[in-house]
Amino acid sequence: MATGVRHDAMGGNISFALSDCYAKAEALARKVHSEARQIRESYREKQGLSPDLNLDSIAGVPESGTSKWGELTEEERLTENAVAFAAFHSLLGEVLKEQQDDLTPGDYQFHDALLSLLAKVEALAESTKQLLLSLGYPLPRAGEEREEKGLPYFEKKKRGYKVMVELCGWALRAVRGFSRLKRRNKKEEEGGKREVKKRGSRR
Amino acid sequence: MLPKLHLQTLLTTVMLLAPQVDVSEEDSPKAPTDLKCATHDMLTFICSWSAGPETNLKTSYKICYKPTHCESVERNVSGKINLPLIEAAQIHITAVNTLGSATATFQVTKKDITFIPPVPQNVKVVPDFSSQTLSLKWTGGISALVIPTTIEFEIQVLWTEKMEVIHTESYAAQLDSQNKTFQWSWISSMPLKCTSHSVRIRSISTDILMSSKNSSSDWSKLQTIPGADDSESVMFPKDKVVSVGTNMTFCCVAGRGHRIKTINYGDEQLPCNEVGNRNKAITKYNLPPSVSSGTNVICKLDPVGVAGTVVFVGYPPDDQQLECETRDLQNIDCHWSPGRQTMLLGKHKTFYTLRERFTFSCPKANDDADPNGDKYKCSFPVINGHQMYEFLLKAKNPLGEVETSYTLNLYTRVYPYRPSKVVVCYIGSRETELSLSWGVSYKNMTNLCQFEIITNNKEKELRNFTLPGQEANALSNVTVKQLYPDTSYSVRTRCASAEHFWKWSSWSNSKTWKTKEEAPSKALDVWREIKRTEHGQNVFVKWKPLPHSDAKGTIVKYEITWKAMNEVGEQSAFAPVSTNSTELHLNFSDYIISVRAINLAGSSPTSQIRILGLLEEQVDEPSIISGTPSGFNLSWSPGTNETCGYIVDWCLFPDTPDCNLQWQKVPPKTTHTVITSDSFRPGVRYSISVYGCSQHKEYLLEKMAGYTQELAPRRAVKVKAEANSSHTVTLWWGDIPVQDRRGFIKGYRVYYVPQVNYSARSQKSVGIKEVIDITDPDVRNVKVTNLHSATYEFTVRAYTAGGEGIGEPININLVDSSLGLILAILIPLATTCFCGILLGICYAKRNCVKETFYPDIPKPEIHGEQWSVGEGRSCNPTFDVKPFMPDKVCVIESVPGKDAEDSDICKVEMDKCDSEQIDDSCSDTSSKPMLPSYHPQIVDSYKASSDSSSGSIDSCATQVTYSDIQPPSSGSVNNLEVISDSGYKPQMRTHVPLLDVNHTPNPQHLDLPEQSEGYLPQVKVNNWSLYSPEVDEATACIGSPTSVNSTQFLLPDQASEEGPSSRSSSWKFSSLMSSEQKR
Repeated sequence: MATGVRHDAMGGNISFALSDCYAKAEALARKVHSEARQIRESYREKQGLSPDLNLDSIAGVPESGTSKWGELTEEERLTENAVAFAAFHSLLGEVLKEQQDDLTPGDYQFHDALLSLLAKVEALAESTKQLLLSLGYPLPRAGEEREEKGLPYFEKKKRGYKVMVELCGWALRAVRGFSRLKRRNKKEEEGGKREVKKRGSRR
Repeated sequence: MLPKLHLQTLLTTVMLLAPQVDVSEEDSPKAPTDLKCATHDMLTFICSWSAGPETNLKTSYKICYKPTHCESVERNVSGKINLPLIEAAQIHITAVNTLGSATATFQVTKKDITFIPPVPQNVKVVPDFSSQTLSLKWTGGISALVIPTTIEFEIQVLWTEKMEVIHTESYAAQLDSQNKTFQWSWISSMPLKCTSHSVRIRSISTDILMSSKNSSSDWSKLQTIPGADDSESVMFPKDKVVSVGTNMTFCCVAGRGHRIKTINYGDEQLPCNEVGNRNKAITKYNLPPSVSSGTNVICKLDPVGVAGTVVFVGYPPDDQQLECETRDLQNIDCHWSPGRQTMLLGKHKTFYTLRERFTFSCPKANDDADPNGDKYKCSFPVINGHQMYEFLLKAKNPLGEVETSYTLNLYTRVYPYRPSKVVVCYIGSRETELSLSWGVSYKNMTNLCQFEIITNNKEKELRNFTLPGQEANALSNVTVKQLYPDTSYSVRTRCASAEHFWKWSSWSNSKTWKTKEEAPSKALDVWREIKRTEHGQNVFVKWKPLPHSDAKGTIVKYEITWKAMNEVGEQSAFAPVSTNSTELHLNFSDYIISVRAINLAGSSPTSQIRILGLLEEQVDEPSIISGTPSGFNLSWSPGTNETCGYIVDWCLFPDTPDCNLQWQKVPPKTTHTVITSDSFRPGVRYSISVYGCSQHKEYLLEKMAGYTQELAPRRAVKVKAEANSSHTVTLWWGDIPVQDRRGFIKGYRVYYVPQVNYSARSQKSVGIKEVIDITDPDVRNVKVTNLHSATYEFTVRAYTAGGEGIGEPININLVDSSLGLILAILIPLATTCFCGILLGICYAKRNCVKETFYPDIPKPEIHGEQWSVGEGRSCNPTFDVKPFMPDKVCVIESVPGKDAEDSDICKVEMDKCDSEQIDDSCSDTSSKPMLPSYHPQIVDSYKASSDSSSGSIDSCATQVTYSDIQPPSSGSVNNLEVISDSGYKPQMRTHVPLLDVNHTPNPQHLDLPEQSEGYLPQVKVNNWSLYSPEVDEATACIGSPTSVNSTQFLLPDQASEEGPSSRSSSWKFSSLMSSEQKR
C-alpha cells in the first residue's frame, strides 16, 4: 500500500483495508490481553510471589498507565504501541528463557503457554508497525538491546511478573486504542463518501 | 612508634631484682633500684629501673652489661641491650649527675626477663562474599627469634557498627626465627554484606619456659570489611544453593528512606534480629526442600517497597547405581539411576560425566532421564579384541559430587535379546523338536535357554537347554522329550549366557502344539451286575473310563466280546464312548466277557470277567459296619480260595432304581480297604458286597451294611394300646421302614404320663413323665403296669446311635368302676333342676322382691291449680310453674364429682340444640335453687314471650326437682332468673337482653365494665343478685353462679317421657318399677 492513499480515487478500498487492519490488530490485542491475564496469575503462583508485590522499583518495562492517553494523536498512539510491543516481545523472550533455564525447567506446559503468548505479542508488534507504514508514519527506532545479565533470581522473578502485568495493561490499552482508531477511520471514510457524492451531484 | 609502644609495655612489667647499691656521697644521685627487663624477640631486652627521688640535677645512666659493653642513656629506661640468656648476666647501672654517681649491680637470669609477644603484623582480611568467608593473614611481628616459642593468637570478629564481638577464636602457633605468615579463615553465618565486619588480632605468650605468667600484646588495628551501602534496599545472601536441613541466616539492608517492616521465608514470617540501624536478619532452621523456582525470602519495607532473594534448597547427588551390560556383544549399554531427587533444576541440576577409562566419554550423559525407565543411559561401542572396560560416572551439583565406577568384563555381562523366532519342527507322541533363532549374533557365547512347558494349560514345568553360540538368524534345534501322547503343550523360552550367567532375556512368544496319540496302555476296570431270571441271566457289564494318562488319545468306542465257555464262537458288540456299561442277556452257561477301549492309534489290553451261570450266591444276613462321614473302612475274612484278589461293590444311591454301582478291586492277600465318596450321605444305609476272586472267577464272600453317619429315625412308631385293667396297659407297635430308620435301631423308649381333661380338646399332662427303655430292638410290645385310674398318654420312640426319633402319642383312659360315670351325669342334672325351681319362686314373689330391693321413690306433691302439664305445650315445665313461685329456694353446694356427671348430662342435652339457640337459651337462663335430694340443678325460667324460643328451651330442658315450692310472695316473677349455684359458666355476657331494667333496683349495676370482655365467670353476680328477691339468702346458699349449661335437671313430665334418651339409666329403672307397680 502506498502512502497518501486517502486523496485518490482508491481511497475507499484502502480505507476498507485499514479498517480491516485495525480490526485484526484489535482482535490480536484482545487475545494477548486474555492470555497475558491468565499467564500472569500462573506466573505469580509458580514464582511464589504475593499478589500485592510492589513492582515500582523495576525499570525497563513499558508501563501502560498514562494520563495523557486520550490526548495522543493517531501517530503517537500507534508509535507507542509499536515501541511497547516490540519491547514486550524482547522482555517476554527473556522471561521465557529464564523460566526454561532456571526457574521452572521442567514445566513444559507453562513454557508452551509463554511461547504462544510470545508469538502473539510479536504478531501484534508487527501489525502495529504495518499500520504505521500504511498510514505513512515513520517507524520508531528499534530499542537498544539491553544487557541485564546477572540479575539475581528474585529480581528476575519480579521483572517477569511486571512484564506480565504491564503486558496485560498494554494489551487492554491497545484494544481500546485500535478500537478508537477504527471508529475514527470509519467516520472519515463515511465523510469522504459524502464528499464524493456532493462533487458528483455538482457535476 | 614501635619502640615507644615497647617502652610502655615494658613499664607495665614488674620484675623485682635484688641490687647491690653503691652510694658515693650525699646529694649525689641514688643508685637505681627495681630493675625490670623484658624482651619481644629473646635477643634484645629493654630494661628499666627506679631512679630514686627526683632532684633538680640532670641524671644520666651508664649501663654496662658486659665487661666491655657500656652505654649511656639520659633516662631510666634502657634501649635495646643484648644479653646472653643462656647464663646469668650482670648489669651495672650507674646514675651520674653533677654531684656524683651511684652504681647498682643487678644479677639477671632467664627467668627474670618477661617475654612480651609482639603485635601481629601485616594483618590483612580478605572476604569471600559468596561463601561468607573471612580469610585473615598476618605475620608474627618478629623478624628473628633465638628460641622458638609457642604462642597463641586471639582473633576477634566484630560487627563494626555496634562494635559487638560476634566471634572469638584462638589460634595456636610456634614462633621461631622465621617471620612466617599465618592464615585463618572463618565462615560467617551472617552474609558479610549485611553489615560491616571488623577483625583484630593479638598475641598471647603461653610458653611456660619463657614466662611465669601469660602476657599478651596489644590488639592489631581493626581490619574492616564494609557492608552494603544504603543506596538501595537489598537482601543477602543472593541466590544461594544449600542442602536440606541446614540453618540459614538472611538479612535485609534497608536503603535510604526505608525501614524494615517484616521478613518472610516463603509464606512464613520469622522474627527479626537487629543487626544494625538499618539491618535486620532472620534465621531459618532446618530448611525444607524448595520448589523448582526456589524459595523467596522477602523483606517488606516501610513506607513501600520490597527487597528479596531466592534460596534453592536441595540435596547433593545420590548414589548412582551404575550398571553396564551388553545385549548384542557389539555395544555396551550403561545406565544409572538418579537416585533421590535433588530438588535442584536448571543450572543447579546434577551434571553427569560418564567416561570409559581407555576409550572415550559419553556425549549425552546429561540428557534428561528416560521417561519410561526413569534412568539415564549411554552406549559405547565394543572395541574389537577388548574385553575389559572400566567406567567412571561423576555426578555433580552445587551441593556435592559423587563418583561411581564400574568394571565390565564383556562376556560376563551379557543380557541377551529374547529369541526372535521359535518354530515347532517335529511333533511326535512323546517328543517335539523346536528351533530357535536370534536377530543378532551370539557366536562366541553359549546360550542357556529355559523352556517353560505348560501342559494342557495347567501344569507348568521349566526345563533348561544349552545351545551353542550361533550367527544371527541361524536356527538352533532343541528336542523336548518326555512328553505325553495326545497332550496339548505350550512353550516359551528365555535365554542367558551359560558360562557367566548375568540376566535372563525376556520371554519369547509362546508356541502351542499337541502330541500324537498312542493306543491305550491299560486295560479297563470292568465289573458286572447279574440279575437272574427264569430264562437266563441279565448281565450288566460295567467299566470305568480310562483316565487320559492311560487312554493316550481320544477313546472312540468300546468293544465288548462274550463267549460261552462251552462254545467255540464268540460274539462282540461295540458301545459308544459316551457309555460305560452294557447289558447282555445270556443263558445259564458260564461266560467269559472281554472289554477293551479303542482310540485312533489302537486298542487297550483286554479286560475279562467270568460269569458262572449256575453259581447261586449265598445271601447271608449282612454284617453291620460303622462308617465315617467320608466313607467306610472295610475288612473281611480272607477267602479260602482267593488267588486274584477281591472286589468290593456297593450302590452309591441305594434308594434309586439305578443304584449307581461302584466297585473297587483289592489286590490279593489284602483283606481291608477304604471306600470313600463325596456322594455318601448321612442316614442312608449302604450295602456293601465283598467278592473273592479265585482263578479269575468271582464269588460272593461277605455282605455288609452300614451308615456313614447314623441319624434319628424320621418316622414315628405306630403304636396300639389296650387297657387290660384299670392299672395295666399293653402297647404294641410295628417296624419302621428301613429307609426311614436312618440308623440301626438300638431300642425303644416308652413314655407315659397321666392327663387331666380341661375340655374335650385340651388336655394337660400332670405328674411326672415316666419312661421304659427297651434295649432289645426286636421287641414289639410292652405291658405297662402300676397305673392309676386316669387318662394316660403313651408315646413309643425308636432310637439309633444318631438319636431318638419322633413318636405318636396315644391316650388311654383308665376308670375304676361305672359309679364315677353315673355321678358325673347326675350332679349337673340336679343342679339345673334346683336353679329352675328357685327361679320360679322368685317370679311368683316378684312384688315382694321389688319392694325389698327397689322401693318406690316418693312422687313430689304440688300445691296449686296450675300444676298441670299441658299436652303439646312447651317442653319447658318451668314455664308452667310460673304462678308457683318458690317461697324458699335453697341451693346446695354441689359435690364436684357429681357436678361433673351432671355437667356431662347437660352436655348431651345441649348437643341437640342449635348452636345459636344454645347461646341464647342456655346462657341467658336464670338460675333457680335446687333441692338437696338431687344434684344441684337449675331451672331456666323466664317469661318466654316468643314462640320461637320455646323450642329451644324445650330441647334444652332438663330435670329439676323442687321441694317446698310456694307461691311467690311478690309479683315480680315474670322475669325470674335463677342462677345455678354450682357448675361452670363460661359464657360471657356483655349485655343482658332479657333483663327488664324497670325491675332493676340498682340500674347502675348494669353498667358492666369494659373489661367484662372475655372470660368472666363472676360477671353475672350482680345480675343474679338483682333478679333474686332473696338476694342475701340465695347468695349465701349458692356461692358463685355457674353456667346454665351445666347441671340442670328437670322433673320428668309427659314431654320428657317422650324423649327417653335424655334420661339417666336410674331414672328409667325407677320408672319401670313404678309402672310395674301401677299395673
